[in-house]
Order: sequence, then structure tokens, then C-alpha cells
Amino acid sequence: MQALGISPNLLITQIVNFIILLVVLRLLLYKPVLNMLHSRRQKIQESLEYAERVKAEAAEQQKEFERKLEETRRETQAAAAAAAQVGEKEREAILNQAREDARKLVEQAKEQIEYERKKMMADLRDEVVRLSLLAAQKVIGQSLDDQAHRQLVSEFIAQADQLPANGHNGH
Amino acid sequence: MWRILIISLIALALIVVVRILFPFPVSPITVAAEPLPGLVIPGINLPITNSLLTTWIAMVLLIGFALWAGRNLKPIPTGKQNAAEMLVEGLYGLVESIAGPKWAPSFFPTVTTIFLFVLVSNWIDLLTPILAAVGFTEHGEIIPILRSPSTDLNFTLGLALISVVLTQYYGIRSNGLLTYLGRFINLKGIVRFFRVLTGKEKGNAFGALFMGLIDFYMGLVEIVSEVAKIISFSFRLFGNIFAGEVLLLVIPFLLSFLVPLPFLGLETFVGLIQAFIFAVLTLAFMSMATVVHGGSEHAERAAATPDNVSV
Repeated sequence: MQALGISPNLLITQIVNFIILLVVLRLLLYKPVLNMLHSRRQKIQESLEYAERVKAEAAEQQKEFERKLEETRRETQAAAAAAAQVGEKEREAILNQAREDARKLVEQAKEQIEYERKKMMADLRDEVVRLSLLAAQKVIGQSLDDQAHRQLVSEFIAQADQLPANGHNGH
Repeated sequence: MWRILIISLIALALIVVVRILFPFPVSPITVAAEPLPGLVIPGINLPITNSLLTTWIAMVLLIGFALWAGRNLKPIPTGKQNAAEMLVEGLYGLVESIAGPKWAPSFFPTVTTIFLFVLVSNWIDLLTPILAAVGFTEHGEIIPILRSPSTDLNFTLGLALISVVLTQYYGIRSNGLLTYLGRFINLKGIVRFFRVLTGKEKGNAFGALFMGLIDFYMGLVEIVSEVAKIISFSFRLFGNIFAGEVLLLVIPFLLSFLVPLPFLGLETFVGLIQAFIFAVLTLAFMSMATVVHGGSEHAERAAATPDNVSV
């Protein structure tokens, strides 16, 4: 042992040296670095998890958004369809009203024409009576009692009026 | 390029001239570390040897590195912190890969400290050609002031004792005292022989006795192997680095220039490998000791890989 330089004192000193170094390095190097590595690993894991969560949330929101968009589109279409229906009804109503008005106008016109015709007929009859009277006066050469003659002719015409009608009816 | 070459050649020529004009003596090669004259710590009669002084320098270097690299750690690492993290993380990964996640936190500080301490000590040895020439002169011989701790058996034996004692400690802590001692004083087979003899258990009495004796003998061999570990640990490191020191001292005497360079490279490598072997073997032995007895053969096979490297 002496020849190899081994002495208990030096041996123990070297062991103590190692223990001191172990304790100091553990305190100054291993613990802080390992703690740092550990905390970093934890932080990275948390960040990754957070990112994953945010991504999932974004996807969820995207889906929700698309759903709402679809819903809105459907509602719009429904509203447009309803509006179209209302418009159609309105158009129908307006058309009907217009047809009705036109019909009424035509009717009024017809009534007017009828009235005009009747009036013209009446005037014509008066004219015929006057002309007949005039002609009769010329033929007879004297004036009849105007009132009595007029009566006479009117009756005659009334009969004449009825004749063709009777003749039509008779056939 | 040419300028560097010319300057190098001039420097080499200067060194040759100086060495021829002023030859200086080199210390004799001794196995034992030389005590520095007049330096004794009185109370405990501790002579301060040159290797002890160098051990303290190595410790100061390592603690300095720890102070420099381990301070102001930030979540986003820069420069020196990257170096510290790479070192610690790499070694921790190694420890975890061999010892498993359960024991890695316990083994890591010891194994890493052994590795760093031995590595720095081994690499100080590379300075031998300079260190050997700087020292006190006593009786016409130089006593170098500094000498690599790895070339002092007190250092290597101290580390070996720590390694082996800690291995036993972890073995006991993991298996319990009785189970762990049962590995060395294995009486299970002999007890079985007596049970067969008294008829409490069926079987061949002769076979039981034979197996019992073999188990008991294997236990004794285990004790021898534990003691052998101390010797192999301490002398492997001492032998390798001391041989390197001798080589680095002798080669310059044969041819002073350029020729020693490959040997310096070789010794750098040897120093790294020896530090690694010391640490990894300690780690492997500790891992084996913690394995519960039934699985020990598997652990031995697993540990055989780093053991092969040491040859």
C-alpha cells in the first residue's frame, strides 16, 4: 500500500472531496437545470394542449357559423317565397278588380247606348208623328184639332209598333 | 495561410533552440503521488500531495463551470445554458435508459459527478509534459506541483469505494437487507436439503444437497466479485491514465515535436472513454443491485454491454 502511495488520510480526503463536489454540483447545476427542463417540458405540453383546445373550439365555431349561415339562407328563401306568394295574390286581386271595373264600364256603356237608342227612338217617333201630321194637313188641306190628331197618330204608331213584334211572335 | 505556416516554423525553431540551450530536468516517474515539501495540514497529519492539490483545482473548475452555466436559467435558453442543458439532459437520458425512470433521479447525481470529475481529472493529465517540468527541486529531483488525480490511487480507490458502497446501499434499499444479503450468503438450497432429509419436502436428497452447495458457493463468488469491483474500478482508471502520463512523458524525449500530437489526441480519447466507463459501470452495477433477485440474470445480461466496452 505504501509503495502505491495509498494512505488512509489521503483516501478519506479524496472521498470527502467527492462528496463535497457531489453536493455542490447537485445544488448549483443538476437541480436548477433539471428543474428548468422539467418546467419547460410542462410548459410546452400545456401550450400544445392549449393550441389543441383552441383549434377544437375554432372548428366548433366554424361549424356553428356554417349552421347559422345555412339557417339564415333557408329563412331568406322562405321569406322570398312568402313575399312572392303575397305578390301573386295581390296581382290576382288587382287583375280581378281591373276585370270587374272593365266589365262595369262596358255595362255602363251598354246602358248608355241603350238609353241613347231609346231616346232616339222616342225622338224619331215624335218626328214621325209630326211629319205625318204635317203630311195629313197638306193632304186634307185643313188643320185638324192638333191635340186630337196627335192622339190618333200616336195610337196608330203604337199599333204599328206592336205589329211587327206580333208578326215575329206569330212565327 | 503561408504566414501562419512560417510563424509556426519560427516558433518551432525557437523552441528547439531553447531546449538545446537550456535543458531542464523532468521529474522521475513515480506511482505514488509526491507530497509537496513543507505542506502538511497539521491536525490530521495530512500531507498535501500534488495530486490532491490538482483535485482541488479540478473541483474549482467544475464548481466554476456550474456557477457559470447554472445561473440565471431562462425558459428560452441561450449559449452557455444550452451547453449546460445539453450536458445534463444527455447524461440524464443515459442514466434513465439504463436505470429506468424509477431509480434515475437517485443515481443521476452520483453517476454524473463521477463522470465529470474523472473527465476533468483525465484531461488535466494531457498537460503532463508541461506539469512535469514545473515544481520544487528536492535532492536534485523535481517534484511537480500538479499531477492528474487519476494517476493517484487514493483518488481512484476513493471513487471505487464510493461506487461500490453506494451500489450495496441501493441494493439494500431496493430489496431489503435480508433479501440482499441472501444474494451473498445463499442458504436456501441447503435449507431445502434438510427439509427433504426430514421428509417435509419430496425430492432427491443428494440432488438437493448438491444444488444447495453450488448456490452457497455462488454466493461466496458474488462476495469476491464485489471486492474485485473495487480493485478493477480503481486500477482500470489508474492504469489507463498513468500509462498515458508515462507515454506523454516518454514520447517527447524520443522526438520532441509533432510526433507527440497523435498521442495527445489518443489520450484525449482515452480520458473521455475511461471517465465514461467509470460512470456507466457504476450505473450498471447500481441498476443490477436494485433488481429484485429473480430477475438478476436478466439485469446481468443487460449490463454486459457496457462492461464489454471497458476492455
